[in-house]
Amino acid sequence: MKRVVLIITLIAVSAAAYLFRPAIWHGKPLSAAGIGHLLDVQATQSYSACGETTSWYEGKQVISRIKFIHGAPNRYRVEYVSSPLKGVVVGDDGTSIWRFDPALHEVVDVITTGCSVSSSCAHLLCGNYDILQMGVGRVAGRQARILQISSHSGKLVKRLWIDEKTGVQLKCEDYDSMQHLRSRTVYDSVQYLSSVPDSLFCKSSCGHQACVESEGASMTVSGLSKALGFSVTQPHYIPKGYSLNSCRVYECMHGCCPKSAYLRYTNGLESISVFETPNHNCGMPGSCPESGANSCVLSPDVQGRTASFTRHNVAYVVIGDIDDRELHRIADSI
Amino acid sequence: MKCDDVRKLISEAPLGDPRASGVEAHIANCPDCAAELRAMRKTVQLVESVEPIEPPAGLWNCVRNAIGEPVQPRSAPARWNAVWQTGIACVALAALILFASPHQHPITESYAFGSFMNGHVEYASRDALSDPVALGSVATISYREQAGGAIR
Repeated sequence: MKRVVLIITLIAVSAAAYLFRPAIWHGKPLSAAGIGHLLDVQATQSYSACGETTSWYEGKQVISRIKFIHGAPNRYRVEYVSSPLKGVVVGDDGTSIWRFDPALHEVVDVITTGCSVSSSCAHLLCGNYDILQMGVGRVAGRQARILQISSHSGKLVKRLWIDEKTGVQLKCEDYDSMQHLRSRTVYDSVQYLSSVPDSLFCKSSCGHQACVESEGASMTVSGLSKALGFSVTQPHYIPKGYSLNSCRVYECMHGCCPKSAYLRYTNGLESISVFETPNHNCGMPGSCPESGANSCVLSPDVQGRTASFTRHNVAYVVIGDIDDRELHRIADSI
Repeated sequence: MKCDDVRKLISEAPLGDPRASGVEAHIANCPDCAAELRAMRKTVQLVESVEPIEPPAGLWNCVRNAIGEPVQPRSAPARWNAVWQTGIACVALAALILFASPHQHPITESYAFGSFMNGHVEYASRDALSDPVALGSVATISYREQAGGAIR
């Protein structure tokens, strides 16, 4: 009898310890509904913020002071106010992302659609990642919830500091597949606004500059094949959790290559890009005819790993921050 | 010519012609300096015979992240560990510089299709929970590189 009581007591204590475990130790998971709500709330906030962004590009650390303006719904403007990006402005007017660079005296227009900040991404995100609340902290003088996003295998992908009252991202850290910090943006002051003038998000706010239209609207794979005049091939293998997000024409910004097909796959947080370019070398490793068909060259990069090869006079480039074996498998399946 | 002068010349140009620098006369009568010259030449030949190696892809990331980490105050034993670690790091760095010349890095090959990498990065700024500020800075610099500019 005593033994039964002891076992029941142990089970009860274990259950209580599990149920009332401190969130800061184990992390409290965030549901798809919670993430969806967070994305919706973020989209509706209007605010301006000052801070600093740090990122790495081909081994070089780039630090810049920034001014960020967000206008509901889903529009933003980033002004880089210190070297080496002083004077650069990046904007999103809701239909296109544009960038003005005073060093190049031009506005680059990048038309995009897809799995953009919306609650429909929440299920994809939660299906592929564990999102845990890891406690609270203070950023920009405000109380923030710390969210940690890891793959199911336990790899840390992202850390976010979310304003507890408004849902706005006050700090963001991104990690690469090697678990090293890839970028960090942190605000040191935030001011919430009732409204922001539409003109701030338009590229015309940077004056009348030369405009480079680098990409077209999303279409189907067959429509893309028709538009480009060659058969665009989808990989038969894409890692679990990823799905096709968009197909579009991608034009090399300097006109050195013919128009390419661009297939983009996403798992809600990370993406894999497949570019297909007909009858042209483009200087890509693996695209030289002498190197033989199917010779696949892998190259590392801070923003992702790349695999490139040619087959039947079409050059393929696969980009994603994923394992080499997975990259090879995607390449082999094309 | 004194032994110190000869050894200085040997260390500066171990594969040079000993007749040219006047070392020949000295080493003919000085077995120690002759042994020094032989050992130095053997070392240089050994280093040159090693095939160039590529550093692991994540090495630079490790170094740069370590640089960015805040320095923690250390206890006395930890300081000794740090001295050892610094020594090992210096040797590793020297080996890296010696054996891995820049043109052998596969990462340089990716510059050729930076335009595609640029597209990959730009589209990511519309993803859920993305950091458009950091992605915008990377895309701008990548675009500048494509346009022939440099990070200033």
